[in-house]
Amino acid sequence: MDIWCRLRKGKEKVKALSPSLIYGLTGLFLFVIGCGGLLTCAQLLRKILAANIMASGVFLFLVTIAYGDGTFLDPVPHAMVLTGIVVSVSSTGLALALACRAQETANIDDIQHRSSEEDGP
Amino acid sequence: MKNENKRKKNRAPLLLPQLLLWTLLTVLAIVLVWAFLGTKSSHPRLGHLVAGELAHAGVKSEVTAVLLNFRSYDTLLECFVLFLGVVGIWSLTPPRLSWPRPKTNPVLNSLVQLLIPLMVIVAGYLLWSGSHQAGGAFQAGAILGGMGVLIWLAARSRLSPFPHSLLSWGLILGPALFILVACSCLLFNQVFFHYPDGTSLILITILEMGAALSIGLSLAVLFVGRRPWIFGADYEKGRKK
Repeated sequence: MDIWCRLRKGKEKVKALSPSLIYGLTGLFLFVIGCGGLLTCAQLLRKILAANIMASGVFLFLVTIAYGDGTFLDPVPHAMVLTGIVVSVSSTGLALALACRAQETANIDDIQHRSSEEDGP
Repeated sequence: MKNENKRKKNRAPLLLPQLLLWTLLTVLAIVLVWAFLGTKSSHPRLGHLVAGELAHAGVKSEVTAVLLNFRSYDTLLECFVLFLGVVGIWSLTPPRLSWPRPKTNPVLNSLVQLLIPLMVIVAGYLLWSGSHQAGGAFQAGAILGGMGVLIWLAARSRLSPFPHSLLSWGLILGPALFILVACSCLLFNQVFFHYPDGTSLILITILEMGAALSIGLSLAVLFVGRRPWIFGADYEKGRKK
């Protein structure tokens, strides 16, 4: 990946950080942060959000890869990202429903556990 | 005081694994950045292959050509993933018959009345523009999904006469069309998803329309989060038990 790119500023040519480098690094950063969140957060909702952040990082990275050196736009990663976004929405919806279900069951268990403790000696 | 000591005791052994975890994540980040900086952008790409074959694809847009011609089985599977998500949610949560009537808000109501025709037009435009520029079934489906969410939020209590079977048929329309087209291609051409010559554009258009409808409906249903209505004797039986 080229770190520098040449931009035209008026008549002069200026050396600048290439935008695809910035986007790619941001995507990787989001991925790693999401990974950390997924592993450290105990709450299910946070885990789902962390997985979503990971997915966003991957999408940003793929779009950056598609841009390449700026001369040719690769449509294949774009198609993959489009598919991925829809899949991530549906998996998030299912994960949220599962989390709700887990919460309900946990609450019932908790209440039963407590009531049995209260009934005991 | 005792509690505090207890908490501290509980927290102390957690520190080491956390440190280890973040060290590992840092290593992962460094490896990823190193790999990213090391890639050369001048490799031959799949995109060049797409650009070479675009003339036979039936559509001018490269992304649409990839999604609905060169790798249409990807889109087929993706439609089914969305459908499975809806089925999963519906089987996890019990259906709910009555929803709290949202507070009537004249501004919201007139806004929704104004927005819905506009959203239908925008979705149609996006679907049409998918043939030659950015756009297509997913974008149109996203707009339709937003429209569904808006309708649901504004007028859910007035929606109850909506037949449930229509919802089910709408959800399966996109995946079913994909399967139908793929199998008929198998019959005519002996290859899965190999459109017969000259029919690419019409087949892609049909598939896109069905997929956009199903994607929009699925997204709206995913937002609702549980089966909105159920008609039939089974549910009544279950209720009486």
